[in-house]
Amino acid sequence: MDELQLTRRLFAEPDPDPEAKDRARARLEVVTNPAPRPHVWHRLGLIAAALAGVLALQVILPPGASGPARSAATELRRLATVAAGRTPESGGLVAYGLYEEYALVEGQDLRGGAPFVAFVRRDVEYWRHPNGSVRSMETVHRIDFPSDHDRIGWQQVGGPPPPGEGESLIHDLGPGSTEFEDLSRYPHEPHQLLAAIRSNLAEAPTDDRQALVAITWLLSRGDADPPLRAALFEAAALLPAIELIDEVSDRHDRQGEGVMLETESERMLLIVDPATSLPLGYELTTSEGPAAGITSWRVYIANGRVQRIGDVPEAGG
Amino acid sequence: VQPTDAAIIRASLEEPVQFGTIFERHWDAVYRYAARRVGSAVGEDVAAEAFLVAFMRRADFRRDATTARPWLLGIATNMIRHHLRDEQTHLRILTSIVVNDAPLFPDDPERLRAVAALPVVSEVLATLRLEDRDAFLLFALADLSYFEIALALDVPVGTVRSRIHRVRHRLRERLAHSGAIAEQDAEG
Repeated sequence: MDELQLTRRLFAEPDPDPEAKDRARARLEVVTNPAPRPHVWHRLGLIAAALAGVLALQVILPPGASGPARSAATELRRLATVAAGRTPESGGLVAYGLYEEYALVEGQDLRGGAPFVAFVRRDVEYWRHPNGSVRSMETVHRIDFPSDHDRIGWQQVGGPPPPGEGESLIHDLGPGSTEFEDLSRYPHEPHQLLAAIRSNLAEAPTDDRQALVAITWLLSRGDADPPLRAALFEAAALLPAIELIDEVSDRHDRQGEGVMLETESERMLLIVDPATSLPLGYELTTSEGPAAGITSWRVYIANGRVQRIGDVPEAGG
Repeated sequence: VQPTDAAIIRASLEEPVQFGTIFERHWDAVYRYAARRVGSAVGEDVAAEAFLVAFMRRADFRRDATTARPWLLGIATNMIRHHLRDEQTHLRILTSIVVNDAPLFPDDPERLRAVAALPVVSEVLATLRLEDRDAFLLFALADLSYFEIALALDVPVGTVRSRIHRVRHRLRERLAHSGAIAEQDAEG
């Protein structure tokens, strides 16, 4: 038996796994065969039919009665009611959160390097002090590069290699971080709130998908009080193309309902626990650019309030 | 006559769903190769992501290439580089499995010799330069020719030849030193 045969012997053939193939095919079909979008005239026809149906129902049904269909906006307003009725988080003044994510990182060496993308699988735990300072602890599990070109770009800007298993990076940020901004600046009137959120999207203030990402982040913040969380759901209900998916599960197989915003090239899915109104996570897929076909995601594990930086809420938040 | 991979990939630029044919043709080869290198769980992920990356980079596929297999295996190889720790762990597991299997066939001297040799192979592979290991394993596990490996790794054929030669020579040397194969075989 020579060295080639020994090598083949060492790396035994895997058993055939049709389910693995089915899963991979399903992932690929998200980008190669997206759900058909109705033609614009077809859509106008559907809208006209829906309007006719509403008018007919208004004639038949007494005032105050509603039809059987549950729209995304209706469900978001119900979630707003649930959120408003929740007890405010207690336990301290420091906001706490823990999430897992597979995040797209884009960058470029400004000294002339090529742009690159990377996908970072990491866990992030953060504490935000009322004075605005933030400590975050990041545990990187994996960094994936779509190509060697991206890996080189990452190295050119000094991107670190993945730390060893269990190693974490701690970042201490002073007051003024835009990501961990002061939530008291946000109004509770939904239209004003949506306008304030859009004003933060400096590059794309009309991008509803980005607005939904920002709403999701604010909903997950441990220091978001019930009135703000209720207003955030009301603001989401104002996004015109929002859709509702009754049953979805997150990466931890937690069941929830999905609030989806889909454009020709992107799909953003927010997953919410319908009983508590707490966000479970989100999934974001694009079919264009260097990240095409790769789903970035985030799963919210815990949030709440604690006494000091470094504490964690009781029972995981 | 079935269309070539190149024709299908060109068509998929206009009609993305066509890329599904590339998946059906080559999934087994890509999955088998990835699973053999990093285990079936990580291998599934590597293979699935390799097809996604291939889809988004399909405009770069060489028009003169007849089969997409080397290209897909090259992408999978790049993705395996992101899982080096998984590959090292997988190698250790494989070695321990084959060594622990030895008592199952005490009367088969050929298999016993092979079992004794496998930790040596594993150790050598674990310490190779990445580019050498990639070239050698594409040759040994994916049955690609030197020319196809050159396409997969985007290096000259001569470079592939010397990388594979280097690995095979080192393996033979170490195996002979350990007594797993005869000295004259090591010179071959």
